[in-house]
Amino acid sequence: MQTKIARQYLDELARFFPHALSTLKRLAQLQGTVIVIQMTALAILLAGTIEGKLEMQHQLLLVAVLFATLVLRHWLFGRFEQHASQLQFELEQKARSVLLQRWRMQAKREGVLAEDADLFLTPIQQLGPYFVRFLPSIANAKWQPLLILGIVLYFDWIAAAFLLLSAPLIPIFMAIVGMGAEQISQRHLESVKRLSGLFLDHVRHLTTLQIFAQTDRAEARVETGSERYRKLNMATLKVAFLSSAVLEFFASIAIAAVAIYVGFSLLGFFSWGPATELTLMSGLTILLLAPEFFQPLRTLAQHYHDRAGALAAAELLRSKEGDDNAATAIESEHSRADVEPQFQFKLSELGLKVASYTHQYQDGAMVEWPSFSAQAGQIVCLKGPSGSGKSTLLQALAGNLSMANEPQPFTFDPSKYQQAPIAFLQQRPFLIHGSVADNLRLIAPDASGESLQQALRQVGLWSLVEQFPNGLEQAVGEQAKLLSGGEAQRLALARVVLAPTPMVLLDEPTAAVDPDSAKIIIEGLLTLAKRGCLIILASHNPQLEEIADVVVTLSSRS
Amino acid sequence: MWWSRYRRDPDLKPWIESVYSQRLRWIVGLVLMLLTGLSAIGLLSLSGWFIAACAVIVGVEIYVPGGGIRFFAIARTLSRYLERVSNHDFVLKLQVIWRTRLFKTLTQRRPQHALEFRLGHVLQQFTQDIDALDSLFLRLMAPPVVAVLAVILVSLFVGYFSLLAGAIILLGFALIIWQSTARLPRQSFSHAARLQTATEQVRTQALDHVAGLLELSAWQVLPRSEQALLKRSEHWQKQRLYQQQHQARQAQLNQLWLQLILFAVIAVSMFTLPLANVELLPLLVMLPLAVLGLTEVIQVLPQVGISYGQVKAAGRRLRRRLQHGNESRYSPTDAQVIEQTPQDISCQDLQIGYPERVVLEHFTCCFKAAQHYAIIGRSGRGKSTLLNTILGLTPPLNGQLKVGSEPLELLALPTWFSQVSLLQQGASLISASVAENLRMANATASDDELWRVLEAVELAERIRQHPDQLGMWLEVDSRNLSGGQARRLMLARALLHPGWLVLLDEPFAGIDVAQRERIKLVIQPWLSGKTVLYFAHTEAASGPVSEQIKI
Repeated sequence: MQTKIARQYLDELARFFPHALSTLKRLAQLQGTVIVIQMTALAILLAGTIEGKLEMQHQLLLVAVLFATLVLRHWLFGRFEQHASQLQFELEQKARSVLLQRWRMQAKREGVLAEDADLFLTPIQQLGPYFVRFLPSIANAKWQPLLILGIVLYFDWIAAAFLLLSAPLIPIFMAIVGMGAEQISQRHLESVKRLSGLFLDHVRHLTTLQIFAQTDRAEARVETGSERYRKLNMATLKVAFLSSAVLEFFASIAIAAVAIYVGFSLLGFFSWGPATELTLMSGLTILLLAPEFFQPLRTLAQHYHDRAGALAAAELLRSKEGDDNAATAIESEHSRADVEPQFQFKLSELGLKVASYTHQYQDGAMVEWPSFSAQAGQIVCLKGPSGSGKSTLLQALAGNLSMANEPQPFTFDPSKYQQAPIAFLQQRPFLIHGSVADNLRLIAPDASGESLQQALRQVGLWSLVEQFPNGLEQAVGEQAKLLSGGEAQRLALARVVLAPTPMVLLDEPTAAVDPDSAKIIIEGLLTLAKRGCLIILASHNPQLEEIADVVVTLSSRS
Repeated sequence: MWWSRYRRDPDLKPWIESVYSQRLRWIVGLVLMLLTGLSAIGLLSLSGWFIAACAVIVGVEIYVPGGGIRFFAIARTLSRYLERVSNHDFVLKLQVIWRTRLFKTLTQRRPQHALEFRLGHVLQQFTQDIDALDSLFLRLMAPPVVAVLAVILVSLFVGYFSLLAGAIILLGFALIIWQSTARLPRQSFSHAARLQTATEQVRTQALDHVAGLLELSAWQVLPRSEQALLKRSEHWQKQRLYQQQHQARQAQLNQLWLQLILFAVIAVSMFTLPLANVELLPLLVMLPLAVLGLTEVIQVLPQVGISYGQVKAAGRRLRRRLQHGNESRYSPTDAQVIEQTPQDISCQDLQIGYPERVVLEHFTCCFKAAQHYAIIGRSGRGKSTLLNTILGLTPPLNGQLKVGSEPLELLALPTWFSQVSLLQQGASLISASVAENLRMANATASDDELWRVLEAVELAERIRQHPDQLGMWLEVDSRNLSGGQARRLMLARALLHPGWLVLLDEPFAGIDVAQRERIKLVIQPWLSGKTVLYFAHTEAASGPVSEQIKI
């Protein structure tokens, strides 16, 4: 069932590149054909020379054919690689934009974990080989053996029967082994993800682990994690190796059997059937073609793990249940990618009505939101004990809470709200790895250095930034080390000052902040309100309650 | 030659040495690889000889060659399977050793370095670099050795019959091997290094994007962030594919060479072998087939060039990481004995902060043993930095800090940590059970003690509701707790710690006033007899204290 969904994902991706895929398949088959011609010509030339039956002009012709196939193989090889690399590039980029689309939807439901960021790199890299190696090798595996079988059948049906009989055994055995490989590979990918999650968690809290003298335990956990990873890996590999050993075994045995059969026929051991008519030329042709009969299957086996890897990756990349399928996701991605925030409406047009509403969490806990309404330019303060759903209400107002099956408790006056950007400052301010300027330009990419400076001044950060060796271009460091909690919060607020939005949502803006920072933040909020922003904040701080036009008290319901 | 170059290369040396140290494993691996290659050559060439001999030689002995063919057929399958299992197991074992060693080095660094880690960077190091190193033996060291040995054996064998054909094989394949290895594209290394940087950039940007999804979406700037990320990955992927193309070109060239050698050997055999002797006629088939058999050991060679760059780049970064760790190692052994009872802590004209930024100057103060203090100041005034300085994480830029009569810098950090109970400003709960998080502070605490302290911070009810009780699993970033709940759990952990110095950074942030006042009083029994420093931005946000220090 799971694999079915994963396969569906791969099929949908393939549908975007029908021509490129069929070109690749045809190139693979052409390569196979040229190899067959080359081997046949070689056999005829060798046998003819040994037996001395070949005329000079035929010999020359065969040499010419051999050189032609040499050039052709070289050329086809190059063409194939060129197409393959182009297709891989486009395909993986497509998968990335599908993933970005999925993240959008997922963020509003269950959220996206930090370790999910890795989906953007490793699993997507596993998709390409499936399309550019595995699928073409399947196409050739259906073609080249058939062609060879035809030629061998023409010379000797018993040798053909050897090949024909051993060939179907291979896919059967491989399918049996392969089913196990797939399962193990899926488990394996999940554990790689878990392993990288373990590292992320342990590295991020390294200092804490050191202070609490937990490093020995952490090391032990990392070691067992790696060891588990190795065992899983070995399990996958053993199965994969076994399946190719099965293939090689049958191939070797069949080649040996054909060789011995041909040899005995030439000696005249068999006085019946086609064996009596076998010559050195036909025998040698059969012998030279026999390995090539199995070669496409061996190539296929080599790329078989590409399929397992791609399926396991698709399983992770595939949207969770309830999502639209990837194709529509891609469609809407195209239509929405160009939508830039539109600031053209007037801030004063916004008004908000919230109807009383009981929200139920996934674990069953319930919170009650009372009704309230507010106008542009007002400040609303949400208060209530911790766990009463303040942050959840803010998420809902930000449009980040999926309430698809529930009646929408909000009404906004102007329909333009749909496209309105909302400034949303969470308790832990969101700062990117980059400079002070990068963090501000995240919202206003075209802002001049001057206006950045202006915004920083308004939140009281300029005097600090000015002192940095690199000024605005100073990297704020991992987890914003250079900035205190209050400064990080103010840097986030500077974004709003730089590009005010109709609605500004703040979660505990003064919780981890000193009184002076709090004062600056409060002044900033008042200025924003004066400029026409509707400000909604959740806080325990009585100072914020004082400046609020509307105070809403939330309570949990048990 | 490539071999000596590997050995001299400081980036590869430590890793090569750890491969060498497992002598039996790598010798077995090489022998099995060679056996696999020789069996394939043997199967093909013996079959060719057999057929030709059957056709042209009267009364040829058939049972020995027939058995030989069957032997090679089975040997080839068996040795390949064993070779793969043995070598992959070998490489994965090496990886476990390397990975654990690397993490150990990280934990042995002075703790303040941990703050400087870039997460994207470290994650990449753990996963990508160690993965890249697995090519070291499988792709970089073993294949050229096996190819050289196989070529020598085959050319000796062929040379026995036709000196010229043997020489052609030896020289021709030497050229292929040289092209793929010794002429190692130097740019392969710089390219791999660039690729690593690009990968890291994409990873960091993807992490940022994921972390900011909700805010970016509310701002309506998500499409822009997505476009930027796609553009970055486009650039990265082009670099990645360039490597593949390079490898493909090498493979294409090798294939062309191989076929030219094949044709040359055929031509030479035709003209130089005394074919009048019927006994020698089958050689005409056998010698070219031996060349074809070499395909197998040659076709893995184009990977060598690329692997070289990847392994060297990964090895260099890991080596630096390990070296860097060595320089700043802090050793628990040179410990000064620290009194296990409260001591005065005195600060003399402290200047603290980072080289880029001094946050507090001329700080002089004495914290008396077993007294409670509040350090009040606005953010940016250096509260958290002062805490880190007292903790020993951020050494003072100037001035002196003494614990009792000992300067802090003379104390061994691990011993000092064992005396300090801490509640940091950021989230510091690991993804593990509630009990495990609490027992970080006191490994021997009983369940009863845990419940009592949870009761005090008003979390007991929340955790009792959970089916796993104390075994409740905290997700990454304690996402299944609210901000206030996580804060209170960290407070509970700080209370459990037996150390005599308690550092609490904004202990009540995100907790509403009424609850805060209740908790403040209830936790006092845990704090009495200890030196307690509250770091807070207002008086109200601190607990009851004997003295306030404003900074």
